[in-house]
Amino acid sequence: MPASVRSVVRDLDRHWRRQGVPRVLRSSVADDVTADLVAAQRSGRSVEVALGMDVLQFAEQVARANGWSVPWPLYGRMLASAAVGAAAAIVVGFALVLPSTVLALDGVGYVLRALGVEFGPAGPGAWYAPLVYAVYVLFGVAFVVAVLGAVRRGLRYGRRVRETLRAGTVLLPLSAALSVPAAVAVAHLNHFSGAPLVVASEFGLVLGAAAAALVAARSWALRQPAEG
Amino acid sequence: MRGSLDLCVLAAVDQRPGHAYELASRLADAGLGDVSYGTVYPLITRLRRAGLLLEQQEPSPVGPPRKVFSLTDAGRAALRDWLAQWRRSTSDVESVLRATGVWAARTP
Repeated sequence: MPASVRSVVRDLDRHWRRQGVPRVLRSSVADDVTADLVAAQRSGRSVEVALGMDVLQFAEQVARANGWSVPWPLYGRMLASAAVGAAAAIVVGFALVLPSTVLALDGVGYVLRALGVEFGPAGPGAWYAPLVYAVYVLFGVAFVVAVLGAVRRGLRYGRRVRETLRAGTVLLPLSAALSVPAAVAVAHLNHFSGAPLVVASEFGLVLGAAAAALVAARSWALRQPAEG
Repeated sequence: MRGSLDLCVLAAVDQRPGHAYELASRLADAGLGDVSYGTVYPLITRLRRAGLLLEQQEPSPVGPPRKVFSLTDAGRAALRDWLAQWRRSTSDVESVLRATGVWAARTP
């Protein structure tokens, strides 16, 4: 295939892919256009002359003619992006924030003891509880922000992204409010076991609920009437 | 112009089924020199989706199978209707131009 045809077809495919057009649809049309443009070159016409317009303009016209100018669901791309954001938040949270918080709390306890504060038989836990909860809440907020940020990036060429993020901002914390107590209950029932299956089911509960919340948010966003 | 291009494409396909590029070339050769493949291909796609054209794969000696477009029964009926409409509207316009005297005065 001539390089100029390859370049045009690559630009077309990229444009349609960014719009979320499924591969099976765009590859059929890309094959078709490729064959036609190769024929045009064989007959002595350049690709530019054959198209008679800008590549993106042609891509848009073909998309409209095929009925592709619709907000594609992009659930797979959204969940894959969300998984990247969630993984980043979990890694950063568990690897950096939580251990450093524990160390900081130990440091606070040491200072309080040095100052002669009496903790009683329960130890300094009562002093720490609000701090620990605050750290978890902050971690939760950071998790939601990371996931929504990743979704925003993943869907940057899609439609109804703003509505999806708006709904996600409500539904993700709601899902956490339901799934985190459920995960804690599972942990409690298993005596806070660190067994892989138990930990995996706790993570599964929270992440599964978050995924369901995102799908619900996207689904809601797609049902909204078009703006303008 | 868009409606008349639809009519031209249907007429070209009626003359002989063909690939999108071949149809665009035939239209250009027939007098629509400004109409490019880039204009004709989306139009063919729209007509196919409207059920006026039928798409069939045809083996190609130099590459992957290619799509050949032919008229469906609905396409033939649309061509007939649009042709009648075209004749009627052009004759109406010509009548107006003749009645106003512009036709005779400006015809070279």
